Amino acid sequence: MTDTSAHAAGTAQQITGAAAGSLVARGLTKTFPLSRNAFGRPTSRLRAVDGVDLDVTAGTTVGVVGESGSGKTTLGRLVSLLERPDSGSIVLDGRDVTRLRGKGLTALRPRLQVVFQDPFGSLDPTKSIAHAVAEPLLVHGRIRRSQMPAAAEELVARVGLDPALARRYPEQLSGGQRQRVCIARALALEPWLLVADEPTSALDLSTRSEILNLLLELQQDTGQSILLISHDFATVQHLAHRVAVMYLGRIVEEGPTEEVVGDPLHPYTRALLSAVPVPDPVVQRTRRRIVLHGETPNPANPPTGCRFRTRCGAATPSCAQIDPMPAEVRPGHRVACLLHSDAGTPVSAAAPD
Amino acid sequence: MNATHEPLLAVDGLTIDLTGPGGQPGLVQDVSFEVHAGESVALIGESGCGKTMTAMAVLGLLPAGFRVAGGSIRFQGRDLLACPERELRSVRGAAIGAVFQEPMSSLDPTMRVGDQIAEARRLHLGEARKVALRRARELLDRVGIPNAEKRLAAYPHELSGGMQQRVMIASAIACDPQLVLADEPTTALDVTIQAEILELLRDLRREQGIAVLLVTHDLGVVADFCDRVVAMYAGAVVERSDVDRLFGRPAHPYTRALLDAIPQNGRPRTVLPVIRGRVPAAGQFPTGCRFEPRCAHGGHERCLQPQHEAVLPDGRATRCARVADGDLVLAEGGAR
Repeated sequence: MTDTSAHAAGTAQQITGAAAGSLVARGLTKTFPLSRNAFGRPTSRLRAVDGVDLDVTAGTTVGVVGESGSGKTTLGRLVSLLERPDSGSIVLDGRDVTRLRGKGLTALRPRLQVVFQDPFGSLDPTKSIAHAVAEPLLVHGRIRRSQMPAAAEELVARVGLDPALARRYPEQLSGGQRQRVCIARALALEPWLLVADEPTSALDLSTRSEILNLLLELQQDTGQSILLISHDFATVQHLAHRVAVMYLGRIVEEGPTEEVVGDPLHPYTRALLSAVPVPDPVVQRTRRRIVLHGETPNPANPPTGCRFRTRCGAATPSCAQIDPMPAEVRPGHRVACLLHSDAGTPVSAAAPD
Repeated sequence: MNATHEPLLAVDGLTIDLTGPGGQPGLVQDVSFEVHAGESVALIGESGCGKTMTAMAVLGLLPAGFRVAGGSIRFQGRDLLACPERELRSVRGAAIGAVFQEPMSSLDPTMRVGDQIAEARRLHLGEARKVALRRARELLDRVGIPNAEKRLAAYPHELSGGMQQRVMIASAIACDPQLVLADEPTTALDVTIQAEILELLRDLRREQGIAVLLVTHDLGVVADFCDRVVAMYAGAVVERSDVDRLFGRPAHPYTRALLDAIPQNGRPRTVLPVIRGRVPAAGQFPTGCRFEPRCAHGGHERCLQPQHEAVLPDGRATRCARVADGDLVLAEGGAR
């Protein structure tokens, strides 16, 4: 847990120990074409993730928060190798997996599993729960077809569901039960890294706490790393050891959760946190929301320099001229803002977007 | 609050049945609550608790197969359930505006934003298109949409989610309603947009005295926005209280359990209390207290009797017989 600060300096790339599930991502960039000309060449592009560095220490949870369009889901897809980055590297347990293909990639897949937001859309309605959770084991040749029912019951029991549910179909289950099934399926292959994209957003309050308990308990038992992508602050705050805040494809602030939540440094993080209502009317009445000007800029055409400057209350003329880089302003706490560090690249020197 | 005045909306003993084969009586059972002018009331509970069904009944928009079997819904002293459809139409969309969760599925994708807002005024007030469009422009200004003149001609898909929700609100308030019924209006939105939408609704309350009935499962939104809370469980109201007392001194084990399930700020990575089991399916409600099988204080013989709403001396209403006569004292405070 404590070696995260060593990585955070951005230079140290060595991997500590033999712990499984440590992730080091450097300079991840992913661009999507928005439109193409008659020859199929992209004419405009959207840079969904733009030069992101991210570390997940083995056995810990890192939360990624941000609004829609901030690139957090794309980051999750890059890290889980569902999407190939345009540039940058992903190192999993000391091994560069960025350009892995074919058999090498297939062999790695079991190590990286994903849980998606919508438990309704990610289960095949025509397949039983047993099939859904045990299929990964079959596909990767861990079990024979005859062993599926037994394996399924064990997995279903592991996520706290009645093993008898394995014989049912997705439509017969509640949202919380389905999300447990998705988690059971992701855990079937004993992944090192679990990427959970909004695992609680579609759930009720009481069901949410069940899923939070489950994720906590599973991590304590098996020690896998979790990359938790969510716009729900309560979820991230409760589970994550560290949190990264994204805005328009960049990480603007990253650090230990209680530090980022308790004393946010980046103006965007402050504004975002001030907008989350506290479930206590007496406290909520005393809070002041930091109002952001205008709307989120078009991600295809982000502002020059600091991307947040168009909405920032503390912006200065130099914010348009210098593109701030994340810099360590406290041990293990990085912020990309000129208020806190003058690290950055002059706009004229930066490659034109 | 202003109990001396006649309430704007008074729902009394509302009961909704599902008719037809496989029908279920009492999906929503004996629901009573009031909304006074200018006030903001939250309707909370887990999914499947009947919040949306209750709201739809107020609008007279129950889906096919659902039928109001009893009770009354009085709006400005007029019983909406006894109203002929024609008269109801003059209330719904005019005196009561509605905002739903998914703006994209409530707005007509083939219709320009301006015409959609103007439609309400043309239908209810018989205004000419030109006049109504001018008013629509003012409304877009009112709900904080920049370049209102230009946006009148936009189609819903050309707007962001937050802007679409503002358009929904603009059309809900187009005919100067006394009440806006908002069903999870911010659930699909980012927190910063949510805060802006709540701010807008707050302004409308303050400046135009519009009352808001807010259906939500987000207790943060309730704490931020509402004066009073109606908590529902399995089709019945389990507690009615003002917002401070609901969060400080809940009067029903279900609301207590909901508050306990909120992750606490200072205690990350600890196991959260959960409500065991799940909401019973409609038709499988226990005959006694509907929450009893999941209640931390269940198993008492009085829990097996049907529960009735009791009003406590301080004005809170609870549907727990044990809390009502002081046999059960629930923990106080937001956190435990």
